[in-house]
Amino acid sequence: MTQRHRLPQGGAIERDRVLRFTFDGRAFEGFEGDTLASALLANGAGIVGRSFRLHRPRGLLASGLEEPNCIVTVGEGAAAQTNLKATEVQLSDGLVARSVNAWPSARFDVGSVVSALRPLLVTGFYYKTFMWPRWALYEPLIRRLAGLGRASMLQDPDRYDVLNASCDVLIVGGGPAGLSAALTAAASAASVVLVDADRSFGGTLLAAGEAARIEGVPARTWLARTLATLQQSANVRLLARTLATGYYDHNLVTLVEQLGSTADIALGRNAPRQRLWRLRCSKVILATGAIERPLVFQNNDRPGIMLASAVAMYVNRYAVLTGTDVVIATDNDSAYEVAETVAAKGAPRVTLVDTRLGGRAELSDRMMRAGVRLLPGHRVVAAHGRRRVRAVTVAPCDATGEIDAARAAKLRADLVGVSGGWSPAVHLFSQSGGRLTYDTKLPAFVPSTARQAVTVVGAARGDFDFANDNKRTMWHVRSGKAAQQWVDFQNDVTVDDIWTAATEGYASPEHLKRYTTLSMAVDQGKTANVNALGILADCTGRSLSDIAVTTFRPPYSPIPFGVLAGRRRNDLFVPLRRLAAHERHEALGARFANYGGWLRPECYARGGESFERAVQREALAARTAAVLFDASPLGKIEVKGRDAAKFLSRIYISNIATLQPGAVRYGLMLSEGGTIIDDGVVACLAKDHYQVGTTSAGAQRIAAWLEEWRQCEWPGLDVVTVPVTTQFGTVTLAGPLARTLLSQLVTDPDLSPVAFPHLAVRMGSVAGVAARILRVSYTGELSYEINVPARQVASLWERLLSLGETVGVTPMGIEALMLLRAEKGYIHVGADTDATTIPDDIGFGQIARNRREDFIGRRSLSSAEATRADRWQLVGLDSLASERVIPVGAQCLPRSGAQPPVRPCGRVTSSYFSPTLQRPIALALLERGRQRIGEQIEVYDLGERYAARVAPPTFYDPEGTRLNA
Amino acid sequence: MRNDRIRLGLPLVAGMVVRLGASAHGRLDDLARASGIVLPDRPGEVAGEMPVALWRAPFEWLVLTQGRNQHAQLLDRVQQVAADATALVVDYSDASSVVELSGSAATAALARVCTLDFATWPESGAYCVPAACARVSTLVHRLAPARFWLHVDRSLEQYLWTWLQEVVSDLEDFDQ
Amino acid sequence: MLLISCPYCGARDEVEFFCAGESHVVRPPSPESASDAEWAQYLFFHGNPRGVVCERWRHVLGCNQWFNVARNTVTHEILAVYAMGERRPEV
Repeated sequence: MTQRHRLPQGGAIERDRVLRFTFDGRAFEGFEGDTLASALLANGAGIVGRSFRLHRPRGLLASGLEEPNCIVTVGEGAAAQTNLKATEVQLSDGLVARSVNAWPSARFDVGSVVSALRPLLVTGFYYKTFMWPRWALYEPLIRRLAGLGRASMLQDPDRYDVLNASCDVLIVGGGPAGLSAALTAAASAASVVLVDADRSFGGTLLAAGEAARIEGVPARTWLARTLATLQQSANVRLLARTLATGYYDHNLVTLVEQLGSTADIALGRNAPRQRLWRLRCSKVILATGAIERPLVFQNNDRPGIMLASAVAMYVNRYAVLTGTDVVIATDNDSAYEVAETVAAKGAPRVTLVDTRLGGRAELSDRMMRAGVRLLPGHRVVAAHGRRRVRAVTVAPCDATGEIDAARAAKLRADLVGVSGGWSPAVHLFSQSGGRLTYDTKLPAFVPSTARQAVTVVGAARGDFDFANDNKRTMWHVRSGKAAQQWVDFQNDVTVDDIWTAATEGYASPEHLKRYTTLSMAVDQGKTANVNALGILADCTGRSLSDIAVTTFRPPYSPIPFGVLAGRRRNDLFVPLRRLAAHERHEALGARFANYGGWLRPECYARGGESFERAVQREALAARTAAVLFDASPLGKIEVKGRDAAKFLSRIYISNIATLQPGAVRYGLMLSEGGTIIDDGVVACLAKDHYQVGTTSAGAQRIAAWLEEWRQCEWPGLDVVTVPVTTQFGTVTLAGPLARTLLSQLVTDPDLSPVAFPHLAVRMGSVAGVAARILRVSYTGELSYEINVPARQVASLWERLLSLGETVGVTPMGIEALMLLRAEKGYIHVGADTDATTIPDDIGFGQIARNRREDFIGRRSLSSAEATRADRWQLVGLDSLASERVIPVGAQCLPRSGAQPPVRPCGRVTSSYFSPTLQRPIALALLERGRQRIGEQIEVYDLGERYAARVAPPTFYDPEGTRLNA
Repeated sequence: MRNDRIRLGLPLVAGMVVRLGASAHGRLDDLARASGIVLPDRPGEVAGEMPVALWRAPFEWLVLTQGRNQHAQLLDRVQQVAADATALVVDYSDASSVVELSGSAATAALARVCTLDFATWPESGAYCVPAACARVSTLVHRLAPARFWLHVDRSLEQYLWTWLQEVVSDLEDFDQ
Repeated sequence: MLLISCPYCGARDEVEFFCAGESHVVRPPSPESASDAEWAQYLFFHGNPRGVVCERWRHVLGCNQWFNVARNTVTHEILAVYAMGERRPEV
């Protein structure tokens, strides 16, 4: 194929730069400046796509983003981009493209047999057919056949940039209206940004012939001059290949700019491929133009039937003319120029069919001079040909749209340009919150009241530069077969489907859209929406002024997820905090995982041992010798002031005023609903000076909680808070040998049990580093939490490890810690508690009841819900089937042998195999749990049953002898 | 990082957070005497030059020094002023890290991590505001026209650094 | 994507803020003597008007201060920004 439809001259293409590409496996050639669409047309590729539902053969309908038929996948493997319109793909050398929804090719598609199933695939078919014996049998097959392009399952290798910027004036659309607006704005001192999705500015001017003029000069000259002026203006930024995708609140507009090229890829340069602009604008001018509507008649979807303006664009911009017997069918003046152009470019036979009768003397004369045969007062009723249009039937029609079938005639046609009017592109205006009204003269929906600082100019406002008659639009051929008149080409929605939906009660545009899937495809119904509403209005006897369009939502045209994610991928997906001693843990063989937003060692597996073995070994080491644990992420907040104790006593369920300097107390914090939101220890550092401890995951949340109450509810309290979580690293040394080891590095403070009891805080220094040491224990062993400046943790860790070489200090990960605390019945907030758990549920009811003053959540604890006798309470569970560890989340059954469905009376919240006790242990929340100690119950999980005995939650050292050593 | 257009660095800086409760607002003069800096009373203002005080919140500052001894002495003096008041002076040398971004493309890089409109900043002079950089709480501190310090929590320094590295490398390699 | 004027830091992008719902929800001065209905009202029954709402916002990725915003829930127009603790303005 050597570009048989390429005209010998003209077009804005570079004929000396030949590009090679393949489509559906066939090799073609095009020129620099082509889109994939123009190159395919030049090469005579007629069938370039298959429709979604019925696999009908389709050709190109349009030349821009409104294209519904030629949907392609470009590229291969991980870099493949799918569901692109061929009209938006810039042709490049070596491009590989495939039509979606067709196999093996669009030309010869096996799926076309689906057309025979047409009767079964009516509108809303998933409610009507494929129902016996049940839908679920057919669903997998139908789902596999559904969809257009297939996305690659490999990671997107493309990179994306995101840029925040602001400007005084954003102008969307670089056609004549947008360019004029830009010239005006450039003359002021304002910062101006002008964007256009196309690679070239000019809009409709790019489709204009040599004769076109603006302000008295040839259009081409005007365009070149205007661009030169704008390029030389320092306050103007021109962004081509940039699509305005969304209009958000307070004049924030998102733009997606195409960067780079296939040349970059060829050179192996991994440059960002697209950029998301988040542009905050003082003012926005929308010059987004208008989209031509196709005419609706029988078989109006055949290859070779195009929008009239697209015919002109392909002829003038790309030098492509795909027919010799050309019929231009229109109901407005804009298509006359197209007929003239096509005739001038050498099409031997051109006929213009206009639904309107009479008038237009000047235009008629022009057609005569151009050699165009004019048929006024006629309408195209049907197209003929299957794989390509070969003829159209035209018939006279009157002002009401009635066809005189007796006088119908067949015209030979291998290229049909249709124009059913123009719809202003009001998408962005609507997204900005602007309202639309229906203008019966155009007819079209046009912008009316704006809600933000936005104005609309040019065709986007309905300012068309051709005359429009006040005519009644005939939205389809009423006497023709409704089931063969196509409205939404991509999703195969016909006039019949619209009638069916309306008859079945789906008569509002929002219902119509979802029932028929009209406008829900990749083209978002750009060429279908208004036609569909017109037909809906007709069949429900309403006027279009009374019908609201469906809500417009971003993006204006599909964009990849990657460009929205920007740099937030892989390591940057979420901000993950790192320990100051991360490298040291790495060197010790730590396996890391994300715990509450921190990257932490889960265990330190040695010599190839499994994760489970490592955890068991570390846990046992804590009970028999000593372990080191990096507890740095534990939240630490300093609170100081005359009202500090008062303030904290309202935050905690405990009375902090009784906490003396040097003492530490465990506390629960509640929401106003009385439920536990966090737990931790609070240490009194000095009079009116405290360090509040929180869970690692809750550190930021609780710091914010304190500030919220201080700033909003109690601003009169004399107190100040500063989070110090990351200032201090925490090295926890725990185990029976902890004191022996620590005393080798510490002279001050005195570590003897009397001087430094459990639940106390002392200042001092460890290995010469100033430290705040808390004697608190989550493991249940003798334990010191040593707070030092975070950057000292690594060296302190090393000192302690080297000390312990003779006695064996084991690095311990977080999993072993969780096991040990479960043996002691210590809760893990969020695991053993949920959003309904109150203090009494976990055995802290008395502390709350003993308080006389108010604290956050106190009032809720006296509600009926909080005082229910059958609340779920924290208990332990001993698995009666030896060695079987009950899974976390297993449900407690109300009676043994109960068959689901049944309401559970509890659930397992923590569960481990205890190396200390050599048997499985679990914690659970169980209805009336504390009254059922000793009872045997059955626990159920995913079909498996476990027998267990209810026990107190503390399995190990209930007297706390180890703690108080 | 390579050239004059854009550079990343990790200067070592010591610092402290000073926060005054309402009843301690009267201590401002004492603090000024102890620190040698008149602490800024609004966002943006930067006082002093090593030690330099940055506004973080109303009556809250990050005060930075370079040099361990200078820092230790300053911390001591300032803590004494705060000792018996509703005020906290906390060493933040290990809680706060600095990522330095410099070069003619520094603001182009910053436009890719934060939504600040630098056109509203004063033309010259030191300036510093709290803002989000790469979704992380930061102090964006301009020392000179093409030199910025981003003060970020130390645990998130790696995250911000990695993000900026990618941005800087794109600006260097692809002039975008 | 709202542009919100923090009373301290000036106009900033919505991503730097956190919204905590309705303003001027009065915590009963002596909770222990509040009836169940009054306490439930305080906890759960907040306004959701179509029109102007006053909300509490916090500049969480900035100066960390709380303030109030009067916003139209239909148009997202921000009618007023005022300090925490100030009375609801006439909008």
